[in-house]
Amino acid sequence: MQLIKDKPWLPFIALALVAQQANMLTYKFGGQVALPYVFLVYSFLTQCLANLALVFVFRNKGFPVALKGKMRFWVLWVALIYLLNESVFIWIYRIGAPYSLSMTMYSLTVLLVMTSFGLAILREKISPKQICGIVFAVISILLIRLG
Amino acid sequence: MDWFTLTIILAFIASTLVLSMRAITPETNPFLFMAIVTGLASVSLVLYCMFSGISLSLGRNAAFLALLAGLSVTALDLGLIFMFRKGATVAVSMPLFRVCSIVISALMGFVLFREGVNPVKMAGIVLACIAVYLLNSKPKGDLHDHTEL
Repeated sequence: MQLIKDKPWLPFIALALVAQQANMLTYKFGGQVALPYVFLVYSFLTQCLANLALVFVFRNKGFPVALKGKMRFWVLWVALIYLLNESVFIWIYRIGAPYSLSMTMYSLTVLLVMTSFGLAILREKISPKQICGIVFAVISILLIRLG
Repeated sequence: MDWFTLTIILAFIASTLVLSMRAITPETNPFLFMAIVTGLASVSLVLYCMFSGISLSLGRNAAFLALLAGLSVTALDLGLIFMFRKGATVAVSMPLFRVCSIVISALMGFVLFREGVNPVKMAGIVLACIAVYLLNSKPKGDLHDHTEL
């Protein structure tokens, strides 16, 4: 209880972790019992309705209520990338990707891409620890591929 | 295309998504934003299915799983949004989230799906956890908040 008192965000990280696993399991099984695109239609509709319900629930809790300026157009780009992302995600499980290794590979590659982007485009600083991290990540990808 | 190549492609798409999400201004309601994103995505897919002659009917099991998928993604976003609103620092919370995510997925793969594991793969997963932790550590003097949805 003291831990939760000190770190009030811990229950939310637990919620996010459980939700992420539930999501991947539904994709793994859902992609096998239905056509991925049809499955995603209903998943997206559920998300749309659930998010609209959350707009209503949190309307007086410090969340703004409108999309302004460039966000009205940005939403179109994000929708396109989101659609692509979820379609490939469900397809990976449909072709029989191993649950454990695909997730490890996915997390690592996202981090490597993001780190490269930060270094090359945003000119962010890099610490020796992070350089070790990059080396470990590359070795890890090779081990998973060769193993 | 095998799962390994597809996972690499997915990671590049997901990185674009994360970077796009970071461009969302604080004045934007994240729930409304995601409602519009998923609404647009579902309309596009419905149109694709209609023009391709794909039936939109779904069996009971698949419908239940699709409902669960939609709710779980929303719960994931909700958890991450409130994690940061409750004062979680990116430097601590994101490594924790990613390492836990890899460990839980690995355990579920081995236990639930009886996926084969050998010492080389296991070493890869352990090294991946260490790499994720190290990569997420902030360099000294970096005061930028790398909050992501």
